[in-house]
Amino acid sequence: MMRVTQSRQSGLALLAVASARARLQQAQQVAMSGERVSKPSDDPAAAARGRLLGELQARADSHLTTSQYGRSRLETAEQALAESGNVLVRARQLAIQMANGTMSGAERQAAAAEVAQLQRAMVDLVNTQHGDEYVFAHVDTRTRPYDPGAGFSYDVDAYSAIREAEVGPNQRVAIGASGSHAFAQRGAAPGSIDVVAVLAQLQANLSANDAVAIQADIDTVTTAFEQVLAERTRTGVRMEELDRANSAATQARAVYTGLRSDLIDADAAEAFSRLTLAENTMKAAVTVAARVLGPSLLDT
Amino acid sequence: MTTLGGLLQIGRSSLATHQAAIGVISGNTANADTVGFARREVSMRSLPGAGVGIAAVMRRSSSFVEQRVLLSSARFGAHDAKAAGMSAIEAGFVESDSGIGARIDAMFASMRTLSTNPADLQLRTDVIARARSVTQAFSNGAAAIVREQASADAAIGVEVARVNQLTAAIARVNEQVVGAAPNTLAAAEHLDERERLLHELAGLVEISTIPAADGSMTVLLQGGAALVQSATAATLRATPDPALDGHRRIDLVDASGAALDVTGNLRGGSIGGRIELRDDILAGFADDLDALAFELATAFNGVHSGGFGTDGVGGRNLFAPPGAVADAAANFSVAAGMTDNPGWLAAAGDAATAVGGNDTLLALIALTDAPIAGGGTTTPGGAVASLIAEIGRTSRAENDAALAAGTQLEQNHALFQSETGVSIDEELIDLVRFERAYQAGARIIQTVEKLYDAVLSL
Repeated sequence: MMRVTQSRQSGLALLAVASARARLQQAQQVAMSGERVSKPSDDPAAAARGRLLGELQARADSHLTTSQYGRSRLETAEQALAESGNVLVRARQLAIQMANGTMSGAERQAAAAEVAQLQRAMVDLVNTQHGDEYVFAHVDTRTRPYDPGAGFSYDVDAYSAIREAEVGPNQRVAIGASGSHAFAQRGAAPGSIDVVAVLAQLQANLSANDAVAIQADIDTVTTAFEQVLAERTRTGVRMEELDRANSAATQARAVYTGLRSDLIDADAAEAFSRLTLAENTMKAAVTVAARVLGPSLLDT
Repeated sequence: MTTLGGLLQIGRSSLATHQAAIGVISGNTANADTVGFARREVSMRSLPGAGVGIAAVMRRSSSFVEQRVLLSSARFGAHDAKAAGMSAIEAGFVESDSGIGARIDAMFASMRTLSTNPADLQLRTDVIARARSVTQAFSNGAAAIVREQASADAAIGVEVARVNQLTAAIARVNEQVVGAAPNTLAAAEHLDERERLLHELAGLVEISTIPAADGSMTVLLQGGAALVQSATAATLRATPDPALDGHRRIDLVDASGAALDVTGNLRGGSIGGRIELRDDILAGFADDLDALAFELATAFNGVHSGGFGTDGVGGRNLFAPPGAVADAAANFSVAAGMTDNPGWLAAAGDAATAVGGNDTLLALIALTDAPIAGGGTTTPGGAVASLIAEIGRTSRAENDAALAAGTQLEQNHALFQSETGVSIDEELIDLVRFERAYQAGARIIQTVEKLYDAVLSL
């Protein structure tokens, strides 16, 4: 039979109390931090998966930011294109009115003045800014894309692509509108028209009181309107793509947050249940230790 | 026939013997809580003429259990030292906003934001700041590992000095044991002292012991080199060694002054644990961190140097190119001049689109999913997750091993206590027994006195 000494008993009692205190401290830490895995050794596999989910969560956050910025930029471009369309609609109305042979030279001069104003407005629209960027300036967004005297500041045939941004996993979306597609005459696109030049031509024909030429301008203004409208439509499609990407990123973020929470965070009810259990174990250990150390022949 | 004088002698021997026995019991009781004290037991023998005397004072011991205690002490010492070191290291790899993984995420996020407006100076500055933050996380991690290695190394120096004190004391006690009469209280005290010294020594280095016929104890290190032989103690010498990155090498120096490198042989005890922590475990994590830093810097530079800054200049690096894998984490930094010149950040894919292009930036962002780490097998995020998991697994394994070794040590201590410890109940029972025997001896003397009175009154 194993001999049991008082020293051994007190050692065991101390060990039991120390062990209970360690478990209590761990339960308190989980309850206070709200995290089941607060350091890698708590659950190495969960910590690693938590890191990967954290990365996906951060990426979804980043995609949300990118798509929101992209949408804001697209909205600016879309508004400018819409306004450009309005300008061209008004120009077309004037051309139709002034092509009528009953119009006098004075009326056509007045219309020419209004078209000149529309042309200046169009130049301003081509030079629309979003923050410190010119939205129709292709890549060199710090340089004004259109100068009334010199025309486009960049080669509209060479630069017609639009800046893209990553808005989802392996998903890039164009976050702007093409100034060259909307407003320029490009060699690569037969039939395309320089919108500002069209207005300048109309204004000149009105000033010259040339009803025949004005009649011909109706078609070119209509073509210009359709050219701008086409780019506006493409911009709308890009906005829809961004909206879908934004929605996907929002959902992804929620999913990754939930998955990570399942892995890392402690269930409150379970945490407090464990804490209560650890507290009771601690009380029991202390009580038992006091009783274990009590009886001996010295008490008789 | 026994004379009255003989009877008195018997009574006197009974009183003296049981008084001595009560003295031993008192000593046992008084030392019930003394660490390393083994119970003494009185062995009596009958004397010629029917008296009684002390044959020996036996000290309880168990060499088998003793060996188990020494071995489990060494195991616990090793795992406890490694667990403590790993706990300190893993604190630096806890998932938080300042962790390596989160900082890499933030760098990629800043690049995505910049890709929407590549000419924006503030966004460019932010990307470079995030890249710097990544390099700092790596160098902080490397520094934490170096600190822990230095801490383990310093502790090894202190503990080696303690080993030398203990081995010298054991050699001295060996000499006293040999000089003391066997089975006496004096010999028992020396044996207690030697046992206590051996237990402490086993916590520092794994040892085995061989008792000699003269009562001395030979103490051997792992591998069989003698630490203590009879009254002679070898010493351990801890010397900084360039081959160990300036950390301490352990030599065993014998009485003749000959030195034997035992660094690789020490794997038990806290010294062995710290050597393994320093040279294997932490060095392994440092290598992993260096490899990841090297791979990240190389991959990012490879893409970045193909792009162009806003000044239309290409061929620049984003990070200072690491010369070698070794120390790549500690030396990880953003390329010189980049911080002061955010325009140098290559966002564009060609000089013609230098100001607003973002092709290179998109290629850099794509590295988040590229297998550029782990020797081309995993993504940067995957490599960080693997590193975290490995650190967590090692820390948990060492903690579990320390807990198991602690429990085993406790069980062996329990076994040892049950063999050699003092039980108050046993002592009180023996006390009553010897008290009764003492009273009986006194009664013999009283009876002899009455017999003398009877004879004298004739």
